[in-house]
Amino acid sequence: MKVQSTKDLLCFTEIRDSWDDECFLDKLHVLAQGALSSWAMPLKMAALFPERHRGAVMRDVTCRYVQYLVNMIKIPEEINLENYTLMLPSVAIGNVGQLCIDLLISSLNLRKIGSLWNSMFLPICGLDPYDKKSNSICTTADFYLGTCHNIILLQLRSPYVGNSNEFFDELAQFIQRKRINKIIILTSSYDYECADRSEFKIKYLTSDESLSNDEKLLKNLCWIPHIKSLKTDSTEQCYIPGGGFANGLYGYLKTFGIPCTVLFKYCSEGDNVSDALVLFKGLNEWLNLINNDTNSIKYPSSWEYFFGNPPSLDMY
Amino acid sequence: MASFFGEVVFPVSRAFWDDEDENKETESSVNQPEFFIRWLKEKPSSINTLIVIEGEMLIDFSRECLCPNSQEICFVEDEKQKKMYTIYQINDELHIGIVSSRFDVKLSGKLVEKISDIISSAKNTICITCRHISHYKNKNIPKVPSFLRMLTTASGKNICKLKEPYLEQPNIIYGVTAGVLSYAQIMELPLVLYVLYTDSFVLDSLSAEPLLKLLTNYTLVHNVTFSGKDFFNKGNLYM
Repeated sequence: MKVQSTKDLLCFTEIRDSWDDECFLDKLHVLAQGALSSWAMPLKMAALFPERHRGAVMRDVTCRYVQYLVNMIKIPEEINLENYTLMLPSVAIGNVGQLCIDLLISSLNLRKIGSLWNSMFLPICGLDPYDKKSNSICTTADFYLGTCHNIILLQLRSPYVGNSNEFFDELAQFIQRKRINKIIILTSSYDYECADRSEFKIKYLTSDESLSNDEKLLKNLCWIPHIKSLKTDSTEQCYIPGGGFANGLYGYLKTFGIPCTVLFKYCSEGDNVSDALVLFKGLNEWLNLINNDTNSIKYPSSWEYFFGNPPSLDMY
Repeated sequence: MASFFGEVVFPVSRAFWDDEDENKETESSVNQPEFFIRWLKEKPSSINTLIVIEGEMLIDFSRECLCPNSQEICFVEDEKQKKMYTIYQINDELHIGIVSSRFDVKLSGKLVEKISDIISSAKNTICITCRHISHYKNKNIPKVPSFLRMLTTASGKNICKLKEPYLEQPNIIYGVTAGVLSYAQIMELPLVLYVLYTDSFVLDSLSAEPLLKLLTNYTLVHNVTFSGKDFFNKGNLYM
């Protein structure tokens, strides 16, 4: 739980003697360096507490602020995302979801508006993957905005390690705070899990009633519903083998009542561009983002050297 | 894990680390490693220049060049009390942070999170890492034993004393230095990252040249001599 109001502050008045003053001052120093307007208020309030409690309250606020700092989403406050659709990939077999998000960003020429930091992801960085002339950097998790289509995309560029609950929580809070309308998770699944060859079409799983109740649309899209399977421990799961955190995030967002749709394709690892194109076209049929013309799809410039450097000329 | 000698075991997928798929949260949450930060000296309220060094090849060289007699002031250790990151104070202006060669790169995010307040308190941060030239993706690979590429945060351009070509896409850097850069980018801190590409897995006097140039630009270290030093794991002449 994060301290966000004076009421929350009042819950943290218990004195903790284990904190030494030096540690507290250090944290205050960090706080002063990156003070956000939304945090100045609780701090001022803490200063008004009776002296006996003041230190402890400030310590807790500071501690929570530090947690907030290291676990965060940074996009400009003034961007209004109300009724937007958030699309993100799940890092999964063949990286199909990530490739599809790359295609979306590149084809729609979306601009980067911010980043997310979470220690769960292996940190990576490089230059802008979509513009060879740019000197700005990309990180593990960047946000891209498409105001024409009311979409915000979160591109994830590295695998994750460990528990993803903190990331889910952070994302759910962001979605609620920004009043984002619905979420689409793009992923993939091991093709050897697919018993029926006809199922190589896009499969979906949704808690979005505007989609699940629209039978005509679903018929046109020719998607196949992902049937919930019963696992050995009898707990009902919508498990997607090899699909990364898609299943977990879907379940998590469902508990918050956030409409969420998972789209995935069966694939095996190799050159997965064609899988990403299938997913991209399926998604486009639903959301009508670009013309249904192959020429409108633009590959990112960073897809060059997917399979290594060209052979050296010296070898002949 | 190979079940018999010589068996070739392919990873489950390039998308998952350690063959870890989803739905294993209960297990992995138990094994979440923890890092602890220990200060051996009073923690400085601010640091002028912090140089973060990562990469086995660079560790001994940098330690020998920059901090032969310097004081260790802080370290980050894991649960087994093994030092994973050590900070040395060179002088009032300069601190060097070295990532241990034993450090498991998949935990980079956790380590960066632990040292985030140190990164925030540094006025200038320089990160140095290394990669083998075979990882460099480009049509034109420089025909030299080693070369540098750089990446900077938006405000890092102002503190960049040694201009090198930017690391061309689609090349990427991962690990602790990449995490420090990402963190600095998000916090809008000035930082420059240099990556040294070398054609060998050990530094020799030729491949160390760009590194030496880099270090003399940012530190007061001058006249580093190679004779009589043993920071190269092996000589140039013999296998």
